[in-house]
Amino acid sequence: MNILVVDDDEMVRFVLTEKLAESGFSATAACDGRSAVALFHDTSFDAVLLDLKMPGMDGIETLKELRKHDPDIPVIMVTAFGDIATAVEAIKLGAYDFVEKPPQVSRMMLTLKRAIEKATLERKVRDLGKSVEESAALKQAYQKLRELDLAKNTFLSSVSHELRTPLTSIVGYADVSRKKIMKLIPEVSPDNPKNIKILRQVEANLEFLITESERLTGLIESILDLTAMEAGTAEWKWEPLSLSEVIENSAVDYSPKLKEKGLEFVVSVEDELPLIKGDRHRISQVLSHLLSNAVAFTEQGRVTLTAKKVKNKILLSVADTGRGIIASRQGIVFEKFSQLGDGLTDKPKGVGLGLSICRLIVGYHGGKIEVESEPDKGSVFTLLLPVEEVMKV
Amino acid sequence: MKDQEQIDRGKALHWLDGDDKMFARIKAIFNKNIPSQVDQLKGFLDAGDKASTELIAHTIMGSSAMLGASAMSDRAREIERSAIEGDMDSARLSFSVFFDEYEKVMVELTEEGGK
Repeated sequence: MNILVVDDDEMVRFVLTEKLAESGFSATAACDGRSAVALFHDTSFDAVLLDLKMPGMDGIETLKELRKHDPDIPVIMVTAFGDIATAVEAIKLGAYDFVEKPPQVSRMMLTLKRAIEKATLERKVRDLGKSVEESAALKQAYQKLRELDLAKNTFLSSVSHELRTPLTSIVGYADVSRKKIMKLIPEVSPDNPKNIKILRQVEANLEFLITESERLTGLIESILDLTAMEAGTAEWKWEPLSLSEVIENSAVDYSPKLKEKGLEFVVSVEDELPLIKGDRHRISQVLSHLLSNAVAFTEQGRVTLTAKKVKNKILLSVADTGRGIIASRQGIVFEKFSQLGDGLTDKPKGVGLGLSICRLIVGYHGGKIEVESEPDKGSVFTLLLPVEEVMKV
Repeated sequence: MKDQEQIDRGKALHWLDGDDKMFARIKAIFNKNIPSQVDQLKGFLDAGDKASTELIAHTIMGSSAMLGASAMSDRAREIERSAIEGDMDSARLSFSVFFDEYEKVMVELTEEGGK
């Protein structure tokens, strides 16, 4: 602590600087106000003991000057008995306190320590106030972000609904038209191959229209699903759920697809897996998405579906021997619109909502989903469902 | 304090938290500075310089109080007050009383120094 002693009386300067040094302070003396102000320009002080009556710049003027440089510096006025009214004026100008001359050393030290303590506390309170203000600003910004997010979700949801209705009509009419064309083709005379060719072309075009419309419908469903889950408005049907059953159903659904692609399908489910409280449709949705990715991005080898109890968690994993995910994408595969690359590498495929939805679903079940992958060797997607948390849902 | 003693050692030690060495050192500073301060005071009084009289009387009042020389400090205060009030005649009158006290203090300091 560096203390500035300002007094025109050499005896006072000497006594105070010596006693301050004895008490562990670092003390600097100035014999008048101007010297004190000059010292203040170059040195940082923690407190000032300031004589009130001095030749040249008096204590009041000096106080005003010092506080221009440091408005928070604790200043103690040292004054003779007759100057108490002036000392009070000094306090009104921001001095912490005054002590009468001759200053009793221990009392002076006590006053000084209190002044420093008060200034330190005031600084802390002010800093705390700033933190509270910053915190309030952050809260406001967070609220604003929430509102914007909600507005975005509402917009997406509305647009998706508006798109889904005409798409259903498009798919319906296209399908009816395709079927009519298919009926027409055998009726066209084989002598008119040009007409048959045209009809087959129309049929193919309608087929393409239906496929793309269905793909678009799937995307819209995903957006609606995601926005509803993010907004907390998605509907859940919680029930005591046997994961073994869900896995079995998914395995039945995907076996033909895997077989068709020449992939081995290994299903390993531990006996007597405990029931969890979950949403059957949603957990199936997660498994379907993971298996679908595995089929899509694995050219040879196998896909392994495993479920077992690990401590108080259920570990469910889908492993493949596909081309894996390049390192730069592994950290973001669960982010919205983060598309997996072609062959889980770097060429985007799909819109990148599936794994985000999986993460949300698993999160709603109190669990987490992770991925480990090595390019050209495969990927393992792991769901961890903490049984206790699941039971609380 | 004995009647003839001008410097109240007990009072001075009270300000200094009983620090004897410090007391000896402030006596030395007082001894060094006070003659010229008193000369200045007399000069300002003679010149009728109220502001300077007030300031130097104030300094002498503080120093002598710190030393425990209460009578001398009180007389210096009277001069300061007269100067503040603009009554330089009273200030000059007070100076002679002050000077007596000052001389007594100096005698005592000299005697102490010779012991």
